[in-house]
Amino acid sequence: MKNFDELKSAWKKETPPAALQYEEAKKRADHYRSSHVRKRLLSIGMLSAVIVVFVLILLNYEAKYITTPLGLLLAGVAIVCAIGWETVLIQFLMKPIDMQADSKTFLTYWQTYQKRVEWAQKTGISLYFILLSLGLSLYLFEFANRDWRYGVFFYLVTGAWILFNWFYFRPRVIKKQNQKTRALMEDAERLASQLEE
Amino acid sequence: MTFEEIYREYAAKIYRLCMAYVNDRDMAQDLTQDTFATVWEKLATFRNESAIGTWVYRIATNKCLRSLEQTTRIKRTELPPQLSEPPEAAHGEEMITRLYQCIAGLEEVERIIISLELEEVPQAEIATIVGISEGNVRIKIHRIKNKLEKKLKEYEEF
Repeated sequence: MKNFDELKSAWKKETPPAALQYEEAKKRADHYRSSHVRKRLLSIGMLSAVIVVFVLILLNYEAKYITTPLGLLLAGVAIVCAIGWETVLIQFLMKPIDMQADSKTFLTYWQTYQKRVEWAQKTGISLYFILLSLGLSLYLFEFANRDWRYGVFFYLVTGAWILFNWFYFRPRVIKKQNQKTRALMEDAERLASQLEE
Repeated sequence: MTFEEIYREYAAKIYRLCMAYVNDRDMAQDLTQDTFATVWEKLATFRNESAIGTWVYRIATNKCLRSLEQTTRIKRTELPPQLSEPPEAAHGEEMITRLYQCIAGLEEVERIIISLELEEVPQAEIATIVGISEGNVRIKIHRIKNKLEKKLKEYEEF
């Protein structure tokens, strides 16, 4: 290949595969749309199921103290947040990336978006552990109150479990989730630098 | 323009752009289909602020840039080429394979710009697609052509 015109002619010889025939593409576009809707519905369905289960427990359980249903409620909220945080809440709270923007603007959006995702993941996980720990502590109050020895035992075990989660599991989960986000941010930064004048 | 008209006009062009970006036929096919899934989804909201071609190319380039989300790193085919050339490549396909391999050795944004240039998209439109000035596009194209020429020469000499 000696000149650019030769390159152009070689370039145009690359033909798309049969799967890119219009009819196939149309089918895929329809499938894409319906699977997107299905995924959303599934997440919403799961969330609703968890909420229904907790409401039923709250309605049917006769507790001696208000702390018991309150604890259950907090733990329920924590689980709902854990299921729905990424699939529903983050997407609901954040403006989606504009795929129709020019590359430079898109990469800026993308970096901001990843930064927000990183923050949301960190906050979401911390919130999950706080709510779950608080919920569990309140829930145990009624049982711990029956006998002070049980109380000390329950709270020691629960306290140790909470501390272990907070200082061991939480940072690990955050690190794992943020690893991908961070790699994407670095990529976006590298790509943006390629567009500099 | 209807979706079908847009598809028939741009599918092959977008496929080549994606192919140059990822140098993998299956991935290029997926990216092309994803691009048109977005075109299909957003067509009703297309506001005619830019030409339809610019709009479709923008979606495709952003899909390519975002493909890093699916694969942590896009496969980059570096020279020497004989190590990465598919053994089944027919003689007529050799030139195309060689060209795409050389393009795959460029930086990501360079791959996009040269693909648009090879597709004969006017430089002013390329500037609108990637979001840089026309002057910068001209300089970049000049540099990319030199790089590509050098890569092809190395390939031929090998």
